[in-house]
Amino acid sequence: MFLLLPAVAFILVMYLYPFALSIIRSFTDETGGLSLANYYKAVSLYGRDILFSIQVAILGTLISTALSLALASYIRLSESRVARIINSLSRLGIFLPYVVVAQMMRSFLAPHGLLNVLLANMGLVDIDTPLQLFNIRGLTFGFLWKETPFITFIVLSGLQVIDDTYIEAARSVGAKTRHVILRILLPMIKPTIAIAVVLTFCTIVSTFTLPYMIVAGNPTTVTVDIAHRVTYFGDYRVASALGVFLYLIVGVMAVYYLRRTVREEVYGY
Amino acid sequence: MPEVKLERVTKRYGKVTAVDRLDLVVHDGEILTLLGPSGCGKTTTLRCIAGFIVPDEGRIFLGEEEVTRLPPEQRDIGFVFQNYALWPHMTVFQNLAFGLQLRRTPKEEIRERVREVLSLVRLSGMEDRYPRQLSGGQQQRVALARALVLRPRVLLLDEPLSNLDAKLREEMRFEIRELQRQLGITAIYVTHDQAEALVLSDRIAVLNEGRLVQLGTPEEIYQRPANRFVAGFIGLSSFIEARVVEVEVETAVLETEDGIRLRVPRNALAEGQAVTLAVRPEHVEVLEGSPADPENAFRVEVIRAAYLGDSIDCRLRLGKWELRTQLPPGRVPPPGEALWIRLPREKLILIPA
Repeated sequence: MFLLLPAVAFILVMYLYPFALSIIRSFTDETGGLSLANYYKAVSLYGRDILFSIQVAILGTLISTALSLALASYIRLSESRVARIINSLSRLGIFLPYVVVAQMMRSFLAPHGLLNVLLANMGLVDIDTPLQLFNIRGLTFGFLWKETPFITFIVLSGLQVIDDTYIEAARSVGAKTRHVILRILLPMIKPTIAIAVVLTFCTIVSTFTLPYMIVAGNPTTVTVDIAHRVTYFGDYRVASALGVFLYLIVGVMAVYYLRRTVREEVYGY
Repeated sequence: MPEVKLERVTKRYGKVTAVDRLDLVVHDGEILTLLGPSGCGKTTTLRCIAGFIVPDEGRIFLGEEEVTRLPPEQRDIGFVFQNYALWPHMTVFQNLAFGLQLRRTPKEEIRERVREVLSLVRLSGMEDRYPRQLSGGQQQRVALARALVLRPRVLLLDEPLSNLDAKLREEMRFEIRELQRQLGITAIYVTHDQAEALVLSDRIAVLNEGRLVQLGTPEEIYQRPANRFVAGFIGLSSFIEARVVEVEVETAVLETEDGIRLRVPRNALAEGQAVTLAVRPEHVEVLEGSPADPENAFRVEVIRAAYLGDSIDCRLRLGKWELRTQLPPGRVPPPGEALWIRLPREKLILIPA
């Protein structure tokens, strides 16, 4: 019992206390009384941003998951050198911090940045009216750039555990590559995919740097609003109310994740 | 069912030649076993036939059709894997139905065929179970059923019994043999277990270091091994090196370098020829005392003996040679005890050196 005390105390002081404090603060007005005023204010001022955050998280998670599944399946099934190179390159993004990615995206997605210039050279965009990407599109693109390698890495780890004989068994009964991927490989690693999706969703919802540096003006994400509220107004109560919205969004996914982990089916392949 | 033909099939991995210019014909409706030690190329050969790997040289035919470079999904073969490879997220029914669904078989027919094949492998009523809810033997049967439900041209089995316990393995040998006969399907079976090969096969192809060493019926392989490797690999054999010293009308006399003389059938032996004698344990006759007829009778010394329940495994010293035999259950002779034995000349296996 005593041996557990340091660990329990650490969790209580470092995690649960600040968490509880921020929730209490979100329900407290200037006089210290219980109130929902912070929530009214948060919703009236930032309701659109809450929806924007959810929208970006869903969009970023869905697209990056789809891309990752395709990429990981290709790397798993192909024996070509190209697949090996893609595998190595795709891992680079995982180790870059978001602030570096944001910096890169600012120059890449700018009105006269590399992307617009490339598209203009291909005749797809008029450089005088370039694509405006410092909005949900650019932000989603930034998240895809960062999160796709991460999901690919996790999904590929799951795929590589699957013995080749499961694939060969499918081929021997007539399965083409798409059947092997969609009917055999991906269903076999459903729990792994679920975990990757949940982790990515939570990362996107809670990332501050990328939206802060990419999105010009409104709407923006809740994380930026929280920083704004604290930095410019010293308003911890509304910031805490916004934080609770973030907890709720992430909490739904976290509960799903925990239930999935507990119930995870061990196939034993 | 078509015959399977391999013409000079070669597969290399770097500098290692796994299969070396292999010529083989598997006849329509027969079960042929590829038998050999680990690394002899038997599984590589089977995987070439299945299409999982493409040979570097040579050609493979299923019936009249050349399939050397055809992907596995277009070959119409059934494959049973050593680890069963049942898809764990699918029920037994789904595992069996998958191939039929890909062929766009009507739902009613799928249900009927799955039901039929499950009854064939004695697993009726298990449709809704997941593989993890089945025993090893049941999983093995489902794997077999999955291969058979598509009514493939050829059935390929890669050591399908090696994950089962000894008792079940023995039962399943007969079941697989019976099923293959019942369906008349052409089958190729890979194993390193000689007992399995002898029970199951119409013919056995013995492989060593990627090459075909001998092809024949189980009786031929056991009774007339082509060389020392086959004699040593299939069944137990003791070996004696000797030279032909006399050739008579019907018999010849061999002499070992330590002066032991043995009379053997003449066959095509020539004086001075070096030969290896392979002696099966069951061909060593243990005599009651000193024999009246001295032909091939020897006084030997027991090296060691082990009680096996139904017999006594006995190692004997004959000059510088060691012989192995099985005595009926009873007293276990102590090391050093002297015995009289006879090696009947018609039972001795002669292998040209």
